[in-house]
Amino acid sequence: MKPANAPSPENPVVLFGRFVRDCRLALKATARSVANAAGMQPSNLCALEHGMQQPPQNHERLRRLAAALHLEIGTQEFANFADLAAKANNSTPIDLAQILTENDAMPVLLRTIGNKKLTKADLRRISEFVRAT
Amino acid sequence: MPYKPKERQFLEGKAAELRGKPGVLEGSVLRVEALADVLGLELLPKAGLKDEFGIEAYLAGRKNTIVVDRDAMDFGSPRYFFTLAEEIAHHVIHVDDRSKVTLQTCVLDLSQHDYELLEWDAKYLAGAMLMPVEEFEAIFRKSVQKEKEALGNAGDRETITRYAIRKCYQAFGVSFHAAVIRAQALGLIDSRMKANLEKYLRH
Repeated sequence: MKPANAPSPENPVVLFGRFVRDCRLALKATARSVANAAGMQPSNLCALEHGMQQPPQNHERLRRLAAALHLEIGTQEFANFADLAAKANNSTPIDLAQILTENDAMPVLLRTIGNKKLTKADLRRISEFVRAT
Repeated sequence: MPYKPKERQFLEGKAAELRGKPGVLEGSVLRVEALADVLGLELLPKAGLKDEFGIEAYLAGRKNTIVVDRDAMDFGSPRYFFTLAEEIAHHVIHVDDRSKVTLQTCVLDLSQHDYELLEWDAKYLAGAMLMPVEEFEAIFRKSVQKEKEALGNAGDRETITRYAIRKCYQAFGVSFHAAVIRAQALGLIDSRMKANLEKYLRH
């Protein structure tokens, strides 16, 4: 029987932890070595992998963790990592936060899109259009 | 049902099998946490485990999880790695997923004497995993020989043995005490020498 205080498997904190563990095991690295590279205590990384601890809120720490897991900025894995961390922390994904601060026109563009109440299909078409240009 | 102690040959064989898993060795040193990963065991840190219960780790029920003391894990002493190896040993020899035998069900009806035998088997396997028999014996004998030659008549048996034990624990990344116990288990030192070395360790 599942203990009453066990985190739900659909919980974004749990999903992020599982993602981190999968990345680490794919690298065949121990929690200790990844934690050392990320500047964390091994116990904190293990707790994070079990969904018992939030992902780091600090962007620099989150980036160090991604680097320790060999996730390169611009790859799909990094985007997944950033999205899951953002969901777990209820914040903006670190790569998007950087894009937003680098270009003043970005927030304007996003607000315009947001105000239009576009569907997912509309947004996908816009993404494809931008990708093709 | 009484506990049936495992044969030493069986435990040495298991240890060799575990050391043969991919990516678990760094030179002669067994990366115990890597072995846990390879065996699908998860480490779950818990604050205050040692303070509250006096233990650094325990194998949890059926969830393939070893609960570890948070501070002991972060400190990562040789003693912690030995304890972890011991819990892995329990998982390997005392847990059967197919028949749903957990360590808890395994020890349920054991007498104190049988429980100690079960613990001894896990300790023995942990020692064998960390300090493989042939390598350990070779380093021990070579170091004894080297120190005898270096000290000549000036070297007493205990000083020479201490030197050999030091070489062994350095080679395998274990504690002095773990190497002493392994040396005795392999018949390289007798119980009197073990007691003398433990006395030295306390001082």
